[in-house]
Amino acid sequence: MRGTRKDWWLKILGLLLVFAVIASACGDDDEGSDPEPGDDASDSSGDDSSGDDSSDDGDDGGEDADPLAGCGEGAVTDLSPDRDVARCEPGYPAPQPLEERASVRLATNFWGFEFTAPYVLALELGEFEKENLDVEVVTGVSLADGIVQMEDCTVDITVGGTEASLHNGISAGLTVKQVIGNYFPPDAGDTSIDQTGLWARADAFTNPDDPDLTELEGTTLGTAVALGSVINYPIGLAFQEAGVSLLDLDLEVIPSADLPLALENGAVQSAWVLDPIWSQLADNPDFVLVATQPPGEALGGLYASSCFREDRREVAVAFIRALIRTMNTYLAEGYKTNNVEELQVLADVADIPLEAFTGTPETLMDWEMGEGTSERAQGFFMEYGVLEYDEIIPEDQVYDRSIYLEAVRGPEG
Amino acid sequence: MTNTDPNTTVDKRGPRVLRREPGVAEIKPRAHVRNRKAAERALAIGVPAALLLLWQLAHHYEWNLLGYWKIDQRFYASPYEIVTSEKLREADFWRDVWTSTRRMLIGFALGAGAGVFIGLAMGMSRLVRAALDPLLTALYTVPKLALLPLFLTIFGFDERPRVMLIAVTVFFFVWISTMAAIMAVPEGYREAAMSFGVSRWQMFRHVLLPGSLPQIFVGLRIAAGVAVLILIGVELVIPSQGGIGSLIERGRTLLIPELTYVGIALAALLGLLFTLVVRWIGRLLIPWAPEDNAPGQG
Repeated sequence: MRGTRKDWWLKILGLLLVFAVIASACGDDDEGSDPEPGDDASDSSGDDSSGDDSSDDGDDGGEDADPLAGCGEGAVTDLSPDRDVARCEPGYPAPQPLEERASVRLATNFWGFEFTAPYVLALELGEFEKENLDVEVVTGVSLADGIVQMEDCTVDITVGGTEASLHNGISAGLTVKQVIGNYFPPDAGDTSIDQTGLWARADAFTNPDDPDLTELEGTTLGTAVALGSVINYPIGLAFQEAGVSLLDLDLEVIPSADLPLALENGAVQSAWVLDPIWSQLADNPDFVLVATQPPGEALGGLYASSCFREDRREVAVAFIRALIRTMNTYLAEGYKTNNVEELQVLADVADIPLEAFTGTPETLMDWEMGEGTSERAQGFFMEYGVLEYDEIIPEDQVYDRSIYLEAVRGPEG
Repeated sequence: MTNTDPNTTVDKRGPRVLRREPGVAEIKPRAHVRNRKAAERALAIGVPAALLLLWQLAHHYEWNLLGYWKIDQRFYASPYEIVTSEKLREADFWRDVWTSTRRMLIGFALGAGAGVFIGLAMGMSRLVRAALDPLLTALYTVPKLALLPLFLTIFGFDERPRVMLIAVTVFFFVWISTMAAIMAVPEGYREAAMSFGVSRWQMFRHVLLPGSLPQIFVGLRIAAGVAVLILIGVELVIPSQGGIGSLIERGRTLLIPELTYVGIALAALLGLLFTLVVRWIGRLLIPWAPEDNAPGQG
């Protein structure tokens, strides 16, 4: 019996030894897969040679490669209107996959428009996948609806403009904040270059070559959105500079695609016309561009409540990192000539010809949130009577810049 | 055999003689009617009041219903907040209410007028019925809100597409009930009138119209409710130029739940008042009709 007991102990020890060897071998495998973010970054660049180069740089370092090596001084700006837009090298910030796969639910009213390119391409080209993110997109959800859904964590992140609903929600005690910007036209502020903006019938002015906006007082302005939309901030700004209030005009909400027709048949005398619809009015002497988006200001972006920003911080940073990498890799300046393949992906998603994107000027994708946009927009919203409070909410209660800063600068921001 | 009538007993003098004692309704008919009406009024007021109280409590204590639906005070307004809302004191607000009321009245008048006219013509004439019935029946099934883009193209972006959509929706409800009402006038009435040698106009004036009006008003009352439904639907889809639907939409897009709830409550109130008005007119015009001839209405 004693001999048998000793044999048992030996067998148990032997088994434990075998398990220990197997466990350590598995551990080695896991560690061995860690350097993959660099590899992924190089894959993500596809045919883009610059992207390959920079991510290869990341690979060279192996496990020790700095995933933020490609995000230098230019990754963070002073947020002024005349700044150069923030950029990292293509492929950066490199993926840092989450240890456990995480799901993210993105709610949006827009899908396939050019300004949606960062998240459409991040999804379609596998940038979210590289972060070990499983992103589910729910379309047909407005910002206001998304804000409500985010508050009980049903939705993680929502797309929209810096609108009155956002500010009303924050004023009511909701935890939503803007976490990333979106874009602005590179020629914003220059009405001599055809672009998104306030277009008007030339016959509405005494001198169409030098349009006087006071002449639009009392006329009808067509817009695809109501007074609570951030679009009414640049419109209001343009009229304010001319000494007119937007409230001195009649507003007619008309679907975006119908605005050129409404301008043409005189149903409205002016209208805010978006990409790429304004191209129907360009080069036509009957219409003039009278105002644009303010330069250097992204008027929207993505929004998240504390459920995502704080409770799932690591996931939020990974999500934003994937978006920033997508902007740097596929949507940096010159993307309409350098990244036609990726634009084709966007065109396929939108189910429109590629020319709809290549035929219009580039958009400057901007992950930062310029200084003061929210507060200036609130000023106009107050004038329009669409806010439920009387004092402007400071922008630190509206913007959370810490997530994109962590994505390009690391945890210290 | 068991006697189930509590007022009827088997007379002890003989097993086959029944004696029926008068009930309360017969002994004190006025008191009985008074009590019944009081009970009906108590129910009509008490049930909604109880529901409103429940709503107020759920809001106040932020109940979590079934562990899934939490009544978050930031997103849901209470009945008290609705009734005491600042919005109700704003001139713009009442302008929106008037805008909706005007659209509804004009649309209803146009649709009901056309519906009664065509319904009468189709009910009285086989030829007209043969000509129009298949077409109108096919159009009846088209969701009227789907016609909005077409109406916008035809009429532009002013009040006309909104009013016309209400009119078209009302038309179908009134047309069907009017046609059915005329056709349902008993043949015996017509034959009796014909035996007196009445003219077509006399037949219409003294037989068909009085015989069909109660049913026509059922259609009008249903159409009154439907007019409010389509009115709010149109204003939600095209929120510019005001209206209660645009108030609801404005509350949603600006994240002002109180405005949305006030709008919904007003839409319900408008529907109730309008249906009651149509019902009251019906009772003035057709005093011979049963008091409540539209189940579920009013």
